[in-house]
Amino acid sequence: MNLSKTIAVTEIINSLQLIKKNPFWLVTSAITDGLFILALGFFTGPVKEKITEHAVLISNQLSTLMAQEKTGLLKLMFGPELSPMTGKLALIMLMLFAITYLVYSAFQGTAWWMAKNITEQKTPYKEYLLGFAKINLVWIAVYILYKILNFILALRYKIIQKFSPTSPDIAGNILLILFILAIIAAYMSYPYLKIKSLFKTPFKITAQLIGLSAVIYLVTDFILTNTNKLPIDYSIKIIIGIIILMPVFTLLRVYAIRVLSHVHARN
Amino acid sequence: MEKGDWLIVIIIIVLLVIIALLTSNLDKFFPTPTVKEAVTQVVNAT
Repeated sequence: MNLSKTIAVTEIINSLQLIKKNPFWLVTSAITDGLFILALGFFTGPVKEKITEHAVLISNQLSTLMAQEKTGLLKLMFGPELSPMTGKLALIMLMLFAITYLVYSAFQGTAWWMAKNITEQKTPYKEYLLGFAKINLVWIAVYILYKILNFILALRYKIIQKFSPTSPDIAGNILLILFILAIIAAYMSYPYLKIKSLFKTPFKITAQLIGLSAVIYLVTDFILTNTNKLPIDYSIKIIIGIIILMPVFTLLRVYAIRVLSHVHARN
Repeated sequence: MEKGDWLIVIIIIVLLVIIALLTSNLDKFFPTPTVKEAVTQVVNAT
């Protein structure tokens, strides 16, 4: 197989050329990514703090109640003593997911729309953003399900470890693989706003796209990890990180749009 | 950008402002009960 003629390689070259041709969209997309990280931290920080406060209080009360020989963790949490606090905690968690969804859809939808502009496949902003938000309703539901299952399985594994400390966390690992698959499915659904894109793309193309995207990301991560070890000022490290990481995110988006255009392009 | 696109931008900005207001006033909506209040709540309930 001539590697230089595969879609994966030709499209990475095309993507780099397109990015070079559109510096305006590259910069605005990088700024959008930077703003997304800032906004997510700024908006979810206080909510996460509230969750911790309530979780600590609930666990303290649980310890007190369990010391009185009352058993059944879930039963106690939803019992008359703790149900008001558990309800509040659930509401705050729901709020965290809603905020994450809105911030993610607004900023990442915009960044993907900019990537579409770089590839010269122009879509009206309103149409693309609404489609992006609609598709993300499914992905946020998957994310919530993952978080719940992860919590239950982690708790279960801790109990198993008490009896058998060397036992492997098989269920946890399977869940992690499924979650990574969901991330791949989401990544492939964004370019043409098709939720089943992963399943409707030939495996050969999917493997090339995901393989090369993973290599690009891991190389960037390796560079950033080593930059972090350099004896330079922390703020300079942050600036270097942003300068390297944000354009890479744009490249990965443009690359996915280009590769999948061979299979799913609308026009 | 078309007229409808600007409307979406305005909606996003309004939503982000609402989220900012909500998160900065979280203590008003979800006051954290002090340990004393929490203990009283459990004692009363039991």
